[in-house]
Amino acid sequence: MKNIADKNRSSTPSIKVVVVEDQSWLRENLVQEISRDSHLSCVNAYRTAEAALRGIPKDQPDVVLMDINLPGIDGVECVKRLKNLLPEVRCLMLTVYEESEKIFNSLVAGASGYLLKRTSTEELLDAIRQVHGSGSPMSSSIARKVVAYFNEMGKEKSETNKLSPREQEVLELLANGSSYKEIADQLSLTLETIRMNIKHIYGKLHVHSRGEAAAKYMRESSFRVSKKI
Amino acid sequence: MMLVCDNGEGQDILHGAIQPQGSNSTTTLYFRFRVDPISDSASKSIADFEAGFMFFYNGEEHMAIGSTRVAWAYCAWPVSKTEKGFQDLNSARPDPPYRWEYIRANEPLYIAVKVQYVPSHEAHITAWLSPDLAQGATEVNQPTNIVTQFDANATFDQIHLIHRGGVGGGWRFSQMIAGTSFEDLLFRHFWQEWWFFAICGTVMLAVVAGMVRLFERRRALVQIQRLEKERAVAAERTRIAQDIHDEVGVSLTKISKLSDLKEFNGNVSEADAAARRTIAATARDTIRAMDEIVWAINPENDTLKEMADYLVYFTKDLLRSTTISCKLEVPLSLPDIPVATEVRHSVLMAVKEALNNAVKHSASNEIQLGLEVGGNWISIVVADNGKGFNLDQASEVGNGLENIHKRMSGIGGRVEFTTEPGQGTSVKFHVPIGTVKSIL
Repeated sequence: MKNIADKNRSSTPSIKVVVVEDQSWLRENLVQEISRDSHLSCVNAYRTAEAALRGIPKDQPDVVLMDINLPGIDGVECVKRLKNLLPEVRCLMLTVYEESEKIFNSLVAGASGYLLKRTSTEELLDAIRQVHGSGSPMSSSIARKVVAYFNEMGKEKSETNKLSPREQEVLELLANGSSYKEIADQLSLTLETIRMNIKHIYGKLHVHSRGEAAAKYMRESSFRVSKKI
Repeated sequence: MMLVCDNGEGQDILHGAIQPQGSNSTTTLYFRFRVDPISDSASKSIADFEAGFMFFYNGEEHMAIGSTRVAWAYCAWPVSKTEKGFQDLNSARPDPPYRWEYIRANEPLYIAVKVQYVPSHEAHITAWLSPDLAQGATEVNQPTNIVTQFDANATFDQIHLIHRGGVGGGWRFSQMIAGTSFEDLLFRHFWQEWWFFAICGTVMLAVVAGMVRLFERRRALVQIQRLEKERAVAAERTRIAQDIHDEVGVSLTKISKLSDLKEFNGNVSEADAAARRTIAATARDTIRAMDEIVWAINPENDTLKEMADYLVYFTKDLLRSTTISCKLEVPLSLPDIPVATEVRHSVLMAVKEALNNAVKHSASNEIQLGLEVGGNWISIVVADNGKGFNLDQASEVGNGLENIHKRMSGIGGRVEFTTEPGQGTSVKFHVPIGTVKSIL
């Protein structure tokens, strides 16, 4: 793995990626796929959250692919700590299934999106480029949870972290199934503006995550999750 | 009917329980009391009335049953027709040389008295010394030698149980009864006493309460066992979901990823590459199908909110690879209603069928998913703006429609198709949620 990283470092890649995945075949597979892309380079790969938290500050990656279910510290907690160390790093969660509760918790913890592990290579590389560039993708089902979350948080939070009317509008259209393109058409805005709005929504979601209310929300959510196991 | 009982005090015992009986009275009254002489005898010497059961009228003594001067035995007093002013009560055990039975300490006995009032005449008095008062006894079957009958002025407005001492110690009175029949004077079996009824009532109440509690506990126990069982089932479902997730899902992911790897593209023929792509796509489809199963059996998802979220995810995911746009009419906040696994699964399968039909056959450019909650029902609508079809000739989708019907009837729901050629198709599912049992 190290030799792959070394090999790629020489080819002046634009986006530095780190993989955190406990299953070695998938870790290696991801490293390979990322390394093949001329715009991406895989600078390191870790098997556990503990190792990732030690190593990533030195790697200074742009994007981290983070498995949601890691042994020991899980992906959600790892993202939370990582965002404290490197506020600018973008994290994409990896999950086998659409586990919406966990996915949403990781978004609140600071992740900028998620990918199903079965996602094809093209889509995976696309998603990395997108999350590094113009913005974070948000699905309708996640948008529904985000709406509910802000409604809940709105009761106890200061004005500064509330969604703007435009952001609220975009979020609700998204939750109602509209695509970015459709939202742009409907609101007579550019696709770029919509992406910026979504990016800001993610940002406010993360800001929230440092607050007391969010901590409470997370504890309750993680209690629900831990009940599962 | 019993009128009064001994109150244990030496004053008027009636307290208004019995109407005063004047010279015009026509009633018959029965009295009983127990005497317990404190000493062997009343005084031999001349003395006043010593102890007894005494009628008062306007503050004057009229008739008493008791002991009096010189009468060393139980007697009635004052009785105007006798010389000595008292009437011997036929002592049961003569104690020669005296005519009358002594009054013995520690030999308590009962005296029963019947008073028949005769208007403008003295009352007929019958006194029984130590009568048979067992249940079933009557006033006529008493031994004659204990019965004394005489006439006397028996008017009263007060009755006193008194003992005035003298040389003898007087009497202790107890168990006084006044009634309107001889039966009232009889000893009652313990099961006829008020306290027995009280105890019986209490015991019965306690028994009933105990049984109710036992029943409640039994029911609670059954309930707990049922919940435990449900919990166990839920835990098992979670475990299965987790196992599928961990084992099969990961393996399939592996297949999809490895067969998708571009690395080998240069080394394989186009046919092999195509086969590889098919393998990858099949693995992905299988994961997607498993995704649905895992979602369906995981008890964490047994709520309306989770079901709605998943239907949204599922619909969007299905339409992602098409050019059909998606419109959602699903409330963003939903009541916290439990939805059983079988209901969720059937709804998902039915919605999937409807969506697949719309995608494959409708040639529409927009599909709408709607969800509404009302009363004990939720309704879910899958509508397209496509070409619609004639329901009678729906051979192409006939199988699918039948499946949908089957899914819905299995959970007590129903389905409505609204379609016409050129008018799009709307499939509306009505699903009962009132009868759905909640899983802890």
